[in-house]
Amino acid sequence: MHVLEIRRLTKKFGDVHAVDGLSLSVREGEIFGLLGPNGAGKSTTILMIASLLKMTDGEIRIFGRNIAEHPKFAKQQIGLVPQDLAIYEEMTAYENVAFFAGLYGLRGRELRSRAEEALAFVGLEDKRNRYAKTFSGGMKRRLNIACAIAHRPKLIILDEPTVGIDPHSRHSILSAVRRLNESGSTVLYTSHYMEEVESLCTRIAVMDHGKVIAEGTLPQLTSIVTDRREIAVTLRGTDRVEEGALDGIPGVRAVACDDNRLLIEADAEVNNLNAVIRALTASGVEIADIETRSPNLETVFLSLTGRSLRDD
Amino acid sequence: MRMLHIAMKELKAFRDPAMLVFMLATPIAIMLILGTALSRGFDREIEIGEIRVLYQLEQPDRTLEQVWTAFVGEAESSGVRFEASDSSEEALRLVRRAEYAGMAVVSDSGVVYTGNDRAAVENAIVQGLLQTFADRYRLSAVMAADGIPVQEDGGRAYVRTAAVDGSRQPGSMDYYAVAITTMIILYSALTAAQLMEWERRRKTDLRLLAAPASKAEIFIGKMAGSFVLHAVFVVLLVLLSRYALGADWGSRPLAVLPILFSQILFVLGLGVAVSYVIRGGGAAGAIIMVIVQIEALFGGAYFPIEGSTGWFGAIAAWSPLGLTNRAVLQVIHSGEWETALRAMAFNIGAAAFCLASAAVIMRKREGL
Repeated sequence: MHVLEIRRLTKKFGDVHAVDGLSLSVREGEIFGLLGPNGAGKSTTILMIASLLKMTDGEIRIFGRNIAEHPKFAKQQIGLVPQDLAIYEEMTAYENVAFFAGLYGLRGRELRSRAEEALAFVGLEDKRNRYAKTFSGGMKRRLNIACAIAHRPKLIILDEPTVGIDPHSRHSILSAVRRLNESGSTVLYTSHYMEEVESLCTRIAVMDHGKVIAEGTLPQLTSIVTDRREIAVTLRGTDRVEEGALDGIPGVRAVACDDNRLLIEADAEVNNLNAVIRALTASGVEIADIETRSPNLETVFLSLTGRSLRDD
Repeated sequence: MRMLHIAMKELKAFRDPAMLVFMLATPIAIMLILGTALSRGFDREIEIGEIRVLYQLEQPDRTLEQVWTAFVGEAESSGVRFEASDSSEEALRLVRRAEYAGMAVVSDSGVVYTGNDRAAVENAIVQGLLQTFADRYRLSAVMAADGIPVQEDGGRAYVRTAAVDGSRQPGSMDYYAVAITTMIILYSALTAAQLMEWERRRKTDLRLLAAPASKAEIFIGKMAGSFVLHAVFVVLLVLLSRYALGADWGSRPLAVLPILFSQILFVLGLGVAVSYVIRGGGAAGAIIMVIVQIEALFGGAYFPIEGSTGWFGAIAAWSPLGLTNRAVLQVIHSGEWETALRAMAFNIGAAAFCLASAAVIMRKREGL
């Protein structure tokens, strides 16, 4: 059964197509990943699914019902974890969760037990009476999730929930997402962190410029580029490489620079590592590290767009 | 139920120490300072010492003498001393030198009083007393002519002087208790302007709108919560100023609350409307601050505006804050409700207009 179906979804801001004819579907029990660089249209898509933004064209169905015709039903099924923290700092952790759960119609004993349950789920049960303003960034992120799950939504949408937090909190959040999925919720997860999506999601849609450019399981997506490999070069003292420095090297298909990391998509069967090192050295850059990797989502994205996932 | 849930959340702002200081401690301190510092401006008591008056009795009959003697004794107990004079010229000379307030020539045909024009208040008092004497004597003379014996008290029992009480006037603390309370309510427009802006800034607007609560439920819930919160503060302010500062809120202080509540409604509506018309919380706040300052000045928050003339008086006459202040003061000090009803009608009508405008703009807008 499809929890979410999106058909020809379009959102225009003036002449700009933030989302451009996007179609996808999410099945019950999945952790569905929306992967794409900043500005790909992930958050805009999510805002439209949550009825927070009007679509210009297209259709969204939640459990088969059109959200334009059944907005309250759709909202009741969804738990939204926004990209930014959306909590009241001057309220305690418990008050935050209980307030938002109350908006979904929970009252009395049921409200109290669900709020406690949600806090325990994200490991904040012993901090229930502390004001949110006293929390660390990671704890606030976890509270942000607790506020979205106390009403036990069937579809949980997490919009870049791990942005700007420490590794420990990130691990804790990813673990919570897995457990939510195991407890029966379908998850729609957006991120521009390839590793997170690779490790977490059962199916992935890669977005760019408001469109889905590839969709499938991780093996399905990487099979697009089985004849490729990725050469990742870490540069020292610079984050730029002279344009055209790698031109003419056999097997090099695309090059993208991400901070001090140079990502080279190359043909798997061509041995060109020495040529790459020579060309880079000749162009005056110092190489700190170099590794070759099997195809991953980064390779897929680079192959499909010619850009790195982290390019802004 | 969602509206109530949202309203209850708004009430949690009561725990904010900054809010408590602004809504309770600050107004009480301002009342205390202004009420004490400007008390002389509200002092309506004039201290007058003993008033000395010279008199001459011309050809008095028994009745006149009897009534006059009784009158002089009575006047003396009130601080007005009548002293007999043999010479008119000498008496007038003493009056001119202000040693006496005036001189009265009393005869069967009437009383002629000549007063020093530099003792206007004293003269007014003496003239009032002499008028009472004349009434009593006239009555006693008629009774004597009809053979009815005149009583020894000089006819005091026959003529009683009574005055109609004018409305009580507020002292400085009484005035500023009202004026500062309504001014603090006026400042609530700033809070109201931030009501939705705070949600946007904290991104909680996304969660509110993602929940199955309509924009109307969110709007009404937040407004209701804010109204109740401010109403509670105002009740506390009235009670604190009455029992801690001794301000006069009338015999039934809670009777003025409907007027103050209507002002809260108007001010909250005004703040929300400005925040929707002027996009951006900062700009809306700046405009409201200007409105508040102008209103406070022309509405009588800093000094009484009653009796103001010229352009200031013309503007003050149209001030909504001034109208509310007048309404509250009239209810307290003269029990008069006409202005109060006008003020409440204006406040509620203006609130309805402002809230309706804000609701229309909000409906058209994406998000809160």
